[in-house]
Amino acid sequence: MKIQFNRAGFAEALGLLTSVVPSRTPKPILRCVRITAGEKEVRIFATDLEVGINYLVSEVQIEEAGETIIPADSLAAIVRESVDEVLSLQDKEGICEIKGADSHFTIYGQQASQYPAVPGFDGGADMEIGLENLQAGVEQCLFATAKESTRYALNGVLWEIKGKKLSLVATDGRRLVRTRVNLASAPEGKLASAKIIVPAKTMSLLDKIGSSDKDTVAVKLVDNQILISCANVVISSNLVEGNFPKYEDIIPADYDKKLTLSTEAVLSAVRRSALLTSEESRGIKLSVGKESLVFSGRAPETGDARVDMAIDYKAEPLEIGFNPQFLIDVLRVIKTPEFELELGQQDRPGLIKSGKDFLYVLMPINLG
Amino acid sequence: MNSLCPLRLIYIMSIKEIFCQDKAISILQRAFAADKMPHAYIFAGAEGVGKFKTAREWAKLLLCKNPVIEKTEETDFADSCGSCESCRLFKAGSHPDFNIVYKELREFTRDGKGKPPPIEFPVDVVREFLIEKVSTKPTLSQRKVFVLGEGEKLNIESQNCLLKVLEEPPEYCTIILLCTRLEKLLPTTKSRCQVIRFGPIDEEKIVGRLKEMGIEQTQAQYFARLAQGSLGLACQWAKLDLNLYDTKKELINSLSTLEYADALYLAQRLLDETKEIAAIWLRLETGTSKTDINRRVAKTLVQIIISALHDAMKLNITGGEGLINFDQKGQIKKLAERFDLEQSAEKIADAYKTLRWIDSNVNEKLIFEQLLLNLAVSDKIGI
Repeated sequence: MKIQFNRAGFAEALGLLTSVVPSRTPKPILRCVRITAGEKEVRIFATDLEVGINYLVSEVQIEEAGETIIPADSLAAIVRESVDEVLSLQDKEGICEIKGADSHFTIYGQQASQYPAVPGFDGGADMEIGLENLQAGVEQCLFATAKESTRYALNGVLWEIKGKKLSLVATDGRRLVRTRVNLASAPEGKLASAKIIVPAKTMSLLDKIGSSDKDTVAVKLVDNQILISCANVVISSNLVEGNFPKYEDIIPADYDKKLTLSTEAVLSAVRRSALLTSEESRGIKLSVGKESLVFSGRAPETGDARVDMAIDYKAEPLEIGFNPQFLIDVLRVIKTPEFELELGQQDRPGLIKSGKDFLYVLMPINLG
Repeated sequence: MNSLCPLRLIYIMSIKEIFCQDKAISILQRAFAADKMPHAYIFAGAEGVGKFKTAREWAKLLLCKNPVIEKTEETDFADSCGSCESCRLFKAGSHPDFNIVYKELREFTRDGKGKPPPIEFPVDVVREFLIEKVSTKPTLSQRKVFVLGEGEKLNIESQNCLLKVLEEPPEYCTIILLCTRLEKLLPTTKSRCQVIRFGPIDEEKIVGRLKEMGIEQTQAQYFARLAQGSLGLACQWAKLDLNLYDTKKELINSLSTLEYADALYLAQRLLDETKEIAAIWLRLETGTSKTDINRRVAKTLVQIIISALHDAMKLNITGGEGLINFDQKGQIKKLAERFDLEQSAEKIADAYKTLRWIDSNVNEKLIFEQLLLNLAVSDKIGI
């Protein structure tokens, strides 16, 4: 194989690919990327056996078709540090040479047949979404996924497709996010009215792809994998096994205490009232009274904090405790300047809504 | 043991080539034919009798896209095809749905950078390499197989961590625990798995294999007998380049004429010998913990002593057929003169006790001293 490539374009590709390549793994071949040069195109593949990326590189000139497997970190470092605009890459029986104007690198590659297959996106898409919409949705739900739960389903994000809307749902058992994304076209095939669970890692990759806001993302299900294609990148990922909890049942619908609050002001109030909480007393108290909302936090032997806020509220007063971090997480991703907070009783979850599509359920904590 | 190291995957074979484990394999085959496979197995048996090889070949069959089924009189015999994409990647050691989980993987856990190889099976490895990986669906095949080596070293936290997955793994999952000492597993772990026992390997087979490695007949025969059916152990000993055989000859020599005054001196020599052999062993098996290797060598030396006592006992009863130390019959005879049947039995029991101490962090020097002092004392000598 012999190709000439544009250094900047290659560096950008490797930036994304190396985010999948595991830095430490007992299977050394996974620390490599596979580069194939066909008649017309050059593709680079990376995988950690759960998530794979198939990247079509632009601005390359193919002199001889072939393929090579080389360590991702060495290749990325060489491409990053080089000063030339164009570099050439040549593979001779497993030994890979990279040449610039004044530089010459030789890297020992590995056997191509040992590299696990990374699928491409063949055929039509089952569903299309605007990249910008999808990325906004990912940002709004990813933080609520569970880390290392033995309830496997919670380690991913539920994709639920109904009509022209995609609901993304994530929960870790103490809080739940549901956000809806508009689809560019009505879904077809297996994906119409499907429920799938996509690993959190794959979702976070979606944030890193695409160049312009107008890109659309094509999605398809093949066997146990989801394929996501956007511009010149195809991400393939295994799906998570398991049944996602019936989340509709825990979204309260009978609340009468409703407040409309400023996102920015509440975020600041929560942050300040949480300053004096400690490991043992991690909660802050929200006291809703007539025309006023008081945030208070206290830690034994440290002191206490109190932030007052004037609000438009006339119903019954209520005191309820929350984990401030869980409030901060959600307030950071709310896009609207104002949001609605709905409360029931002290021992029932709080409900936060922003716009028609975003919803957050948060379990209260007992402040004794 | 370090046979789990992915590099060993090079010696790929097929289920048919596994020998002396017909019973275990027929249990597996019957379950396969009836399509009623448990989701978790424990392969139990001594070290080096083919548990890992069987687990690996079984995994290869479960993952294979076109299994070859051969009709025999009793039951169908299934084997992997060896040529589909799954088998090809399996041979290359990069099959996405086959996972070997072993304690030395701690180096690759999130917090494990720079930590030495562990002695116990750490819970981090179980979490990151088993529990987290179980949840995603298979990529290439219909199933996912996890082989967990050295199950006897799982500590209580690790086992408790495993319970939930063992109880209810996703339907596409098969988990195989390899274990040399079943009593080390919690009852809750055992009750969630089907136990398959692996017996010892035929002596002739071991001798044959050792000779292929270039070991001459007497030594091969000796190692085969000392290993008591563990092909893996015998091969490892043989690889140590004569060192061990010479040590054993000297050791038996000294034992046969062991006097009280010499016991401490011999203990010190054994300790030095342990370190020396361990250093060579470590070079053959990089990546294994040093303590682990040290213990293995110490155990081997104790086993040599046990074998001599065993022989002495046998000589007293039968008169010298099938001795382990057949090459040093004279020395064994001297030993047999010193210890009668009952005494030998007692000493053997004591020696087995010291074997257990080795695994419980007792100072090795103390262990050897205790063992040898005990052997030097004899009613006939009259101390």
